[in-house]
Amino acid sequence: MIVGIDLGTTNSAAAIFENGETRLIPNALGDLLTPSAVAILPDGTTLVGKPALNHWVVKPAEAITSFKRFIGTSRAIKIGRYSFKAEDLSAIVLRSLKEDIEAATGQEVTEAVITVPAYFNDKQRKATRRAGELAGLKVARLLNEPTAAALAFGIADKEDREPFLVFDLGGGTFDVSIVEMFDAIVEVRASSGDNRLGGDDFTNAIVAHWTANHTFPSDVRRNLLDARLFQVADMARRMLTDQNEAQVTLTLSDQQFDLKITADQFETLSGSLLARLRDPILRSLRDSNLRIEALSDIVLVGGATRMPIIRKAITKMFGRFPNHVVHPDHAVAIGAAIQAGLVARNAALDEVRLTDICPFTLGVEVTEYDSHGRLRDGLFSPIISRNSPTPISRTNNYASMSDNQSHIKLNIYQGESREVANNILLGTMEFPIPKKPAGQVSIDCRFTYDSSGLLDVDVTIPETGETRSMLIADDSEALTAEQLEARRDQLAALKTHPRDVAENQYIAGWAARLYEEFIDERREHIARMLLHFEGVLETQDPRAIEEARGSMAVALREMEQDHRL
Amino acid sequence: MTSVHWPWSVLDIAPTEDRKAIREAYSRLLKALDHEAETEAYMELRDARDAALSGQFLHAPSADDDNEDDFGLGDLFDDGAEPEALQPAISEPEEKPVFTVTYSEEDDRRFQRVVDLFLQDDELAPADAEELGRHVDALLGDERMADLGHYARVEGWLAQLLADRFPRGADLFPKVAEYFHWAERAHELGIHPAIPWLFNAHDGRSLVHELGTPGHAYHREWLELTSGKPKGPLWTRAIDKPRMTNLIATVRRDYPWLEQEHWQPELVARWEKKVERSGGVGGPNPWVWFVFVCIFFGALPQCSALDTKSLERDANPVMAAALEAENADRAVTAFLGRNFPEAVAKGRTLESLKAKSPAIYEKLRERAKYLPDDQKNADNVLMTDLTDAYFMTVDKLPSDRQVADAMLRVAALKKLRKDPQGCVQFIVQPAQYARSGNAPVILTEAYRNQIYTVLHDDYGTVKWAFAPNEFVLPGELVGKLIDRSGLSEKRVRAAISARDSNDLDTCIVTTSLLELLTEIPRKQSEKILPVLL
Repeated sequence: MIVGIDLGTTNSAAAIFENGETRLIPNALGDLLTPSAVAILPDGTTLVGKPALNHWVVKPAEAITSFKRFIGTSRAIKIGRYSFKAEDLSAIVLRSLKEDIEAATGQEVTEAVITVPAYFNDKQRKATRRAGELAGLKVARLLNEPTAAALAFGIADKEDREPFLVFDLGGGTFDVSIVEMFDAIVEVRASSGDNRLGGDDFTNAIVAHWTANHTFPSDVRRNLLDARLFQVADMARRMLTDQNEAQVTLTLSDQQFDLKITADQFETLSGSLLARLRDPILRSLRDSNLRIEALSDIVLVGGATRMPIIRKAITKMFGRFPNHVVHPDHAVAIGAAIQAGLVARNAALDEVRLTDICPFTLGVEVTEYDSHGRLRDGLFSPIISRNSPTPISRTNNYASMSDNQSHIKLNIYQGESREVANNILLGTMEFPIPKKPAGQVSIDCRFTYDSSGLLDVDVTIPETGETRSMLIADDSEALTAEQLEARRDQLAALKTHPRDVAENQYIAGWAARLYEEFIDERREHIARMLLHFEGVLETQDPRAIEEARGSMAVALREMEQDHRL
Repeated sequence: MTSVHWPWSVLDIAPTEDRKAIREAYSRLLKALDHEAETEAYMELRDARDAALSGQFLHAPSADDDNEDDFGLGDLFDDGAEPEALQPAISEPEEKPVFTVTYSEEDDRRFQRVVDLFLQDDELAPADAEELGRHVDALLGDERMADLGHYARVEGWLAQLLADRFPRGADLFPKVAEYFHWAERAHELGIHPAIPWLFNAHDGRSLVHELGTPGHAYHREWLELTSGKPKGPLWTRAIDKPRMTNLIATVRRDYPWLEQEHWQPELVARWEKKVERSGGVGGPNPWVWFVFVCIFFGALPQCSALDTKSLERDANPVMAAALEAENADRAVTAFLGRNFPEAVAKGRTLESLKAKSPAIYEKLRERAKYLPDDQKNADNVLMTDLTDAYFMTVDKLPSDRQVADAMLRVAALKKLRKDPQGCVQFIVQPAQYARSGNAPVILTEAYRNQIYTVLHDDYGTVKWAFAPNEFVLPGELVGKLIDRSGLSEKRVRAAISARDSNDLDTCIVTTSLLELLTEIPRKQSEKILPVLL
């Protein structure tokens, strides 16, 4: 079975397409969204989702959130005594989602459509695909998140639509796509974005504001302080969705801090972030040759678009109210499930076609003589220009630069600037060429960009008929099949608990987190509840455990709400 | 119509303006093909659809059309067109967005006034310039800029005016560019194709301004080319030939238009000849580059400080030499501080090096006079020299030093295990391997400290003995070696006798030997040393 997975920065979700309909799959705790958080306890036990999030607030060194921001980099993320790359952690989340689907459907899951931000570059896409493989999933397709949302939006009624704009602001990335629908053909006309802008940045703005205006005890470890502050700031940001003022309490070393923020303050703090929304939108409009007035709709996707300041900014920007028909958290996973149905050639989707584009310009570095006959090096020669429909294949011809040149080194770049220094280096290939006078040896360089947004480069030397190809990936990151297998085994060695144990752990973690947040008698109360709960767990009586779990959850929820109001 | 022309031939319909018909044809054909497999066919179809929708291909191309082709220049020479094109697009009613932005008469007057000020023929009077600045401030500070449509229109409009009337409004350019983040978006030709050019023009203008200020390093040379001072011996005017060469080359490379605007061709021609006669100058010297970098970043204060120094240097050879020596000393000291903090902390500084190992001291200083600007490369150059000298000395060192070296080599070799070829290279020719740019990778900080310490303390005093050519490894030691390396005796012996082969065995055996050296009594270790060195 092919499934659709939205692998988000803050939340992930899974959906399947069956009987002509999409269905979101709940996780072991019954939630449709699984927080993209991973915790690894000293004994190697892995927690994913809400339990991991709870653990993070208590012991930040043993858990990690928002790791999608580092995907595609070689940065080592330390969790306890383990060290991971972001793709390994993504694989752990994917594996947990896979298990949820298998539990819900009873079928084995082998293939998946995984969504990525449209503005993810080649390295980030390849890392995401590796994450899927590490989790034991064949990645049938990588789908751009706004495209997925557009599919979810458009397929609902299959009506024709003039171009509309999908505004996707997630936890860590921002994407804009302009999409048109005609006769069940979903056509992406342009995409743009900023893969360093998301809801987390807005939360960090609040954290920065509080750190500047409060003195926190210095005996609290730095990462613990950061984690706790981030957690309450995030809570405050969510409270500002329907309140004008948010007040939260932070307990650190038995000291209570009352932290406040008003909607107006928040808007001022976010000014520079809001300004960064503008350029990607304008670029995509320009690329699709559309005026703002010609847009038929503004579709909001991504949890961060719930923020009133974002809605206000959008209303001002476009001179109209945005559309919130689609569920901001679920649309991407649903779109991924539809794409999975398309890949599997599901009969219900027979008429539907999706055409996407490549949001970047791709090319190679060249050296040229300028009009004064001087050499200019470090110039960018585009081969595939941005917003070309995918899949696409283009060839350019280049010639040798100096007499008796023995090698050509091809630097492959992504970006829009004429100088490669401002673009992103995707990879390098070096190969020998026949020695000849300058300009007499030429190479054909073919770029192939597939529908998952992955790039292949082939070079042919017509003179010798020799062909070389390179899958663009950092040599350091390209894994052979055996290495991949070894890494998968390593990850598999991390223990996970059966589903009901995970639930118990979640409740216990939740209580532990609240214990840290409260002081005095409420803290005592939680300690007693926890002791009782642990006692029940010892009995190993499933009925009693389930009962205790239920009552405990109710009590904790009440206490938490009390505390916030 | 019997045969339709492109794009209709692809779409398989008759030419039409009916957008729906075109899209239906596209949809029908798209669904008939697998667009993810048949890439070329899909792209052809899509191009045809876009062309058909553009409405420009309704009639078949005829022979006449070809003759009249104006290459898309359109009504370029129509006199009435230009001022109209510069009207703010905003004043046209059908361009107004849905409901947010409304323009009052006052706004219209302001737009008109800005256009008038930009387009007026005469020089801007100071009062006018001030008024223009005020209007632009008002436009940028306007709350309505939150509307994207308004924002994009004002942006395009200002870009157009600035580009068309440069240098008018040049003072406003930095402000406008910063407001719209043009620096990051210069390549987006959709805003205005002239924006990259505007940046270059702006930089060039600032450069002219700075060059025109007395006291600038190139001020005199610039005046020489622009106004031409009375003839006379060069030294009275303190014109420096290398500087002149650099000025001409740099301006021609980065701001060719400055030459036409400011220089007098006959003066430039004269100077070109002079410079050529004096044999020309190789590359621009680092000082010149430094000054230019300063100019680009607008760091004028630092520049003037440096300029006086460079001028003094040029005037006085003795002072120049002293300055050079001082610079070299400073560079070497900085290098030592960065790379051998431990040794420096123990008092092994440049002064003590001079006293104890003058040869090394001289070598470093000589090299430091021609260092690359980049700190990392500079460090590499000096490090290469040091490692060279060290590995030449190491086999003549006292035994304890050799043991220490062996320990550190073990660390380096362990790092190299993955690359047997590099490993063997390092064993056979450590200096050469380190010289080929690998030093920072394989030499740990402790090793580097050892290198400097040895050169500092022992380089001047070591006796240059010859290492024995023949060696016999006692059986007892071979046994230990076999234990340690985990290889068979045959392989161990093969590895010892064939040290040049590029295999992992050699690497492992040598590492084990080095480890052994650090653990056994001195008498025995002296037997191993010849094997290693």
